[in-house]
Amino acid sequence: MLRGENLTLTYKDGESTLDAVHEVSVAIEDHQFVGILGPSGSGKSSLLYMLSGLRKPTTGEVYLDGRAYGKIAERERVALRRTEFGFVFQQHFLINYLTALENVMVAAPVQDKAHMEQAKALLADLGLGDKLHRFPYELSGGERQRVAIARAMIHRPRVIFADEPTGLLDRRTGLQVMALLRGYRDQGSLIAVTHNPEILSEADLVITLRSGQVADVKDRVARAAKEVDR
Amino acid sequence: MKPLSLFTYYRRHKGHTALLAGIISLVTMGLYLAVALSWAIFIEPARTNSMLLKFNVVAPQGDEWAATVMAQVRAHPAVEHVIPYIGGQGISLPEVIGGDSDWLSLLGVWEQDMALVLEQYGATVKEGRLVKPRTNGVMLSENVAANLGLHVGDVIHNTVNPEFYSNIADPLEVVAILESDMRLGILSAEYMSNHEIYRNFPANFLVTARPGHEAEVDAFLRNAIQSPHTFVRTRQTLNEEMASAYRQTYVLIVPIIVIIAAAVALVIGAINRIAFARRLPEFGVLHAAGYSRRWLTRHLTTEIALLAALGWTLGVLASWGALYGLKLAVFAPRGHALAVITAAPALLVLATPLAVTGFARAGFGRLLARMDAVTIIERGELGPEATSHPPTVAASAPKPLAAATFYRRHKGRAALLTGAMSLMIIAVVLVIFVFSATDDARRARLSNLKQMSSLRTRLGSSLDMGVVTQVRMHPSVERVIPCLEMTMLHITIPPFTQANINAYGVYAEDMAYLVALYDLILKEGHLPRPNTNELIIPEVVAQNRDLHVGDVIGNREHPAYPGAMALPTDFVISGIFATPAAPEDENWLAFVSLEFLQSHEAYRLSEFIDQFLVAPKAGQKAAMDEWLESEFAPMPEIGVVTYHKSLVAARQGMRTTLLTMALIESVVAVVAALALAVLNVISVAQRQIEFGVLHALGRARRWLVWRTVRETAFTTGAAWVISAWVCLSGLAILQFRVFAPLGLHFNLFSPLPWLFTLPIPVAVLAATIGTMSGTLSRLDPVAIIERRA
Repeated sequence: MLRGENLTLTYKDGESTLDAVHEVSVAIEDHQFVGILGPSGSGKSSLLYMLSGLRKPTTGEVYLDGRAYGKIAERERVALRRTEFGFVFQQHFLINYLTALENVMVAAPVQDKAHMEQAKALLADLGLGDKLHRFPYELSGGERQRVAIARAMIHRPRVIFADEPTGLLDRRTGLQVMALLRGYRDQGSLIAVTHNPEILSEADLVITLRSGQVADVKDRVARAAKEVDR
Repeated sequence: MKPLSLFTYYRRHKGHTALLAGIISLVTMGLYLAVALSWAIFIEPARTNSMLLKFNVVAPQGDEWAATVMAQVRAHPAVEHVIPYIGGQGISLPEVIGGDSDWLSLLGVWEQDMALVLEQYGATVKEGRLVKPRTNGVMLSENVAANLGLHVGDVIHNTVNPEFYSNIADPLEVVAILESDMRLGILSAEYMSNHEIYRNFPANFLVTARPGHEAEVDAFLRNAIQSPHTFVRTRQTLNEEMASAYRQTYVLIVPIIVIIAAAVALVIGAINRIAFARRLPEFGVLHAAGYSRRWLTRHLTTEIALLAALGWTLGVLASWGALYGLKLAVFAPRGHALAVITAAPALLVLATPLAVTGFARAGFGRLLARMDAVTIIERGELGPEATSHPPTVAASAPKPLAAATFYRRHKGRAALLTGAMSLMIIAVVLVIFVFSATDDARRARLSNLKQMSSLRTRLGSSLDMGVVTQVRMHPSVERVIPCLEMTMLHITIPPFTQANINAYGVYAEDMAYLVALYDLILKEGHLPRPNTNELIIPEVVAQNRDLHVGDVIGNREHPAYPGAMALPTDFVISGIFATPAAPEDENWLAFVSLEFLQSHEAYRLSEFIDQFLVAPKAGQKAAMDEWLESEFAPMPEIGVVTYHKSLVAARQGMRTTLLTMALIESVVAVVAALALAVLNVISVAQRQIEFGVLHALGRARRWLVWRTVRETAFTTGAAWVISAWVCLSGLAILQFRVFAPLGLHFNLFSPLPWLFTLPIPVAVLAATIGTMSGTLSRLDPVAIIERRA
């Protein structure tokens, strides 16, 4: 479904250049939970942004259902992010003058009553049914992140990109947030970037990056299939 | 090194400093130029062109009376010179930006007095020679010559330029250019007294005082000499007129300055509010380190006061530069004076820095009173929005990205922006509305020409009877009515305009014809009877001046109303015409008996019939006017006054005012657009996370720009509605409380002033689109997210 081929992202700093990501290929299937693991500066966020179309690779190409991003107009690529993808960032990035419900509605395809009811239901499912009209500064860190997750899910995207979604949360809250995200696998794929292997324990595919290159790939489904074959 | 010096912050934030100082200096410059140029164009010429700066003028009526007055004045021990001259002739001088022209009286000076007059004026011959007695030479000061583009040897005549030399029926030759600061034109009195045209022109006197006795002579002339039969103008008269003119402009200008200063203070307040929020951690730390709230407030207020002073200084200096440039490029070449460095405008525009400082001081005080050092330090990384969280809401908005939602959650900012813009719009258009109302109310005067036109000769001669016959025979003409037009009354049009009401002196049968032609209805009294000093006036005059049947007009000792003009004889109001029901039918017609005027010694000029009213046959007005204008256009000695021509002239006058107002509005619109553009840039910087996230979530840049435009349109629209409401309310009050009791009315919905409400909102929207497109085109959501992460 989503495929990155030989992705390289090069940053220029005066005369010198630095490959944040170097010739990485990755393929994500529908309803798959993919983890991208690595220490700080390993290029995992850069890879995520390239896969989501937020960054253009220096070389290589990303394909969605076989269509190369490079051949899609900028406007259409932006629209893809609105219709096909959802995002959860390390910081919640909620709009601070909007309530929890309004922040979710920001990503709704249409700002109508039906979607508002849907957003309310979603927030209730995430345990925020009594905090719909609270502003972000009236919520705890975990609650804010749950609002961000609801915002990422409201339009039922095919892929949710989560960049260090638990990075600023305590362990318990982090695991709760990951559980919520994992729950989305029934509806679409999840690509999560983290430096914490614990939260990827249930990932179908874990790609470990070091210095911008793939250091290891653990494909739980394939491994399970092999074990079955044996 | 003094890190807490008043200059440190602005030295380290040069862009912010330049921005605030730039806005203040631009506004200061705009207002300074508006004030200085208005005065230079509309008021100061009356002083700089006045002969009253050098002489007092005494104008007795009648030769015998003149001799008595002259002897009386000469006998006064403080009087130095009494110089007879012939007045009444003059030329028009083009104004610096078009519109109404200035009138320059040409003095007919006797040969024996010529040297003395020139000496008193401080004038010397720069080029050419003195005018010889009994010749048609004219000497002009060099500024007048420059203004009209004249040189020695040139000829002045109404065929050369009917606009400026309309009164010069016989050619005058320029024989000298005089070096003088004054505007000056001198003819030979011997020439004038022997000339057919000028023989009836009045013999007046120039009076000078012995050094140190100016005030004494001034008082003597005004108190002992001035009478119903002797017209006196002195330096004190001029001073009073100038003071009155300046008072009138203050009424107009001061509110504009105050409103614009308040608007700028609001805009700068909005910018300060954002900057203040950014500096909150700094204040928290300083407060924690022992600096009191009072110290911080004083420190910040002094900072902004210094900045405002810098902006004001730069604005005033830039204004002086611009005025100097205008003087060299526009005023001087056309012979107009322009004072570059004057204190009054600079003091008036002090309102801007004062308002900015005062408003900032109030804002700082209010914010710092709520400051909690610990909270600030704990929230050190929080953005500006965190300082003013919206209050908790009971329900979420159905459209969170709507402009209304943003401003509902940022009420302070919305109020500042809307308030500032409303004030800017109001400051500009309220004045235009008042001008427009005045002009509209005055338009009724032109209605006198809707049913008839007028044919008149230049001063001092009768209209050729051949011409009268020619007009009478034309198929479109119904009647030709001999007439003597007399300026007898004036009415007040608020806030400070006066309009003359001229009475037509016509024969009894013609008066009856005109009453029928205009469907005039007597409200009270009767028409003036032949050979009586009776006068009939329109209701508007009666209402405006509280006049009634039986009141006497023209008596200096017992004026009918304050400031009423004195006439050689009294006139008794015999009747009042009712105001027509339909405003478009209104006219300001007043009549006196021509039989009376022609029979009375005091109206000796009435032996000439210099004007004929021409009434058309039914449905032939347009054809008649067209014929009159085309037939008599090549004859400069004959003037044709039609409704259309008068309307065009009136519009020309209004155009000058509107041009000036448009100039002021341009400055205000530029300032508003600049300030809003700056606020937008700051706002985007402040809301970059919001924009970055929305873009990351799939909102295109164009959508983001459109959203900001909608937000700006929201405040701009609100500002327009508020200002329109204020203007409409103000106009309604003006109409019903001020104009109506004076018998006047105007069109509340005249489209022209309403058009002036649009440039500021349009400029602000255009600036928003421009700046937002530019700023958001560089938006990189990943950089924003990564920087914050």
